[in-house]
Amino acid sequence: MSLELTRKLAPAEMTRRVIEAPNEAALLVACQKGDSQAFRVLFDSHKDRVYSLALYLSRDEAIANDITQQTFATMLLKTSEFRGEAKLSTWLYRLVFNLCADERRRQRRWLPLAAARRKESMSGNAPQEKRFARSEVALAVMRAIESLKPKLRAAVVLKYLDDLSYQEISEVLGCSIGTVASRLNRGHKLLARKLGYLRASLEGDE
Amino acid sequence: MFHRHASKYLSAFTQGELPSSQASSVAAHLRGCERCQKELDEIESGISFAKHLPMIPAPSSLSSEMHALFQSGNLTAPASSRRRVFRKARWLAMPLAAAIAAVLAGVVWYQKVREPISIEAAPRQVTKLEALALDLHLQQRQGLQQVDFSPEDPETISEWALQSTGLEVHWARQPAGDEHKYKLEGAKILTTSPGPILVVFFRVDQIPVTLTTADVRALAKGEAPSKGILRKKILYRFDSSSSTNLLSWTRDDQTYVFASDLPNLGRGACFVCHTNARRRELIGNAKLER
Repeated sequence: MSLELTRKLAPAEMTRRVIEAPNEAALLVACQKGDSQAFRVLFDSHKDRVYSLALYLSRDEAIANDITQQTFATMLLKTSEFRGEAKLSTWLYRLVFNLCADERRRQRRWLPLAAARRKESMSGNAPQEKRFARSEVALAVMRAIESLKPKLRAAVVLKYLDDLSYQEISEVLGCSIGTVASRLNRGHKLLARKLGYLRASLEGDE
Repeated sequence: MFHRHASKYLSAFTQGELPSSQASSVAAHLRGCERCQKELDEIESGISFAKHLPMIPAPSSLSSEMHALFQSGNLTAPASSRRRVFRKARWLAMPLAAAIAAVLAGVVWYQKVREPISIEAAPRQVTKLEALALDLHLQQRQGLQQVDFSPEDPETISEWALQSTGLEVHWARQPAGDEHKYKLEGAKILTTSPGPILVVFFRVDQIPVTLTTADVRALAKGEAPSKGILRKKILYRFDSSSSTNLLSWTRDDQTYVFASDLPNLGRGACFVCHTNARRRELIGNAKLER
């Protein structure tokens, strides 16, 4: 299923804000005890970023749905593994990244045809947002990012979805900070080349 | 800090991820390096685009589904697919272990061949093509060589050889500063019943070098070097009777022999073809000892 881009994109200023509850560890414990209000707070705080990351990594809406669900289920099951040293969001991203990697491996082994089909652009449908210059840039960025190789894409999405530091990205991806720097370097260059034609529109926007 | 350019640090520099000492070094480098400044512009442009990456809200149906599952107590993660993969792949353990052992053995072997290889003198235990190269090389030493073709432009030798014999020799344009180190003296074709043999005489740093080459299929069995590969498919030999280094190799059904008195086992002759600086350095630094 391809992503319907008629869906409203979240405003940029809202998307950048990390809503980190100060007592997330306590909320997690409450969730384990069956407190549905605590779960609602945690889920609503993180669902969009978790879903976005899963969608950017998998490029498939159905898989992103499944992975979001699995991520929160794993969060509840493995609460004891979260020691509060890192942000909860960073830990969730790590879960998403691992689940996506598992899914990719599974597809490679069993579903080569389906995987090939999924390579079709997730933003392939003509977007109505083209009417707005700002959205046009955003949609072009989405397309350019989905065309990046998975390793570069993961680093770029983590950086710009939640403004993670290189250290945090390295923890999520399980690689060194130098590797993160290198992947972002290549990602930035590729984006500049792929989107060069939009530079005027971007400058006008800013 | 940098060998040449600061390229790989530019994103980290722009995004404030470098320690101050490194950031100062990059800033200082940027002031004097136009290429890195251009790259920085490109990276800044990429960053300004990436900042427009939209977050895609989770579908509302997912929220209601998750809350319903939580309240019903059915929100449990499926068994990790990674663990399932490993469980399924248990039968692969033995072949996998064998493969790892083979790789380790390969690494050990490679380390061994990386050790200096001692080249022992092998008087006259050479193939006919190598023997021919030695004889012609002695003539070249004494200035007695006869040539059929002596072009002024060394690059024409490849075309002439190909048209006349179907054999390939490659004389690359030498890097700036090296042009005068390699001097072509001429070439000739020896017609034999199995096929033509091409001979090229040249000098490296004034030292004579003789190249003989023939189609391996045109040589009778045993004429082409077929054993004693010592390093990367190049057979290094030293002929003690003439104090000459021999380098033999076969590629794409064509056998080549260099006979020379060049130091370092005559590897300087390789540079008529290998003009890439990095490649030259690797060839020159390879651990081989006579």
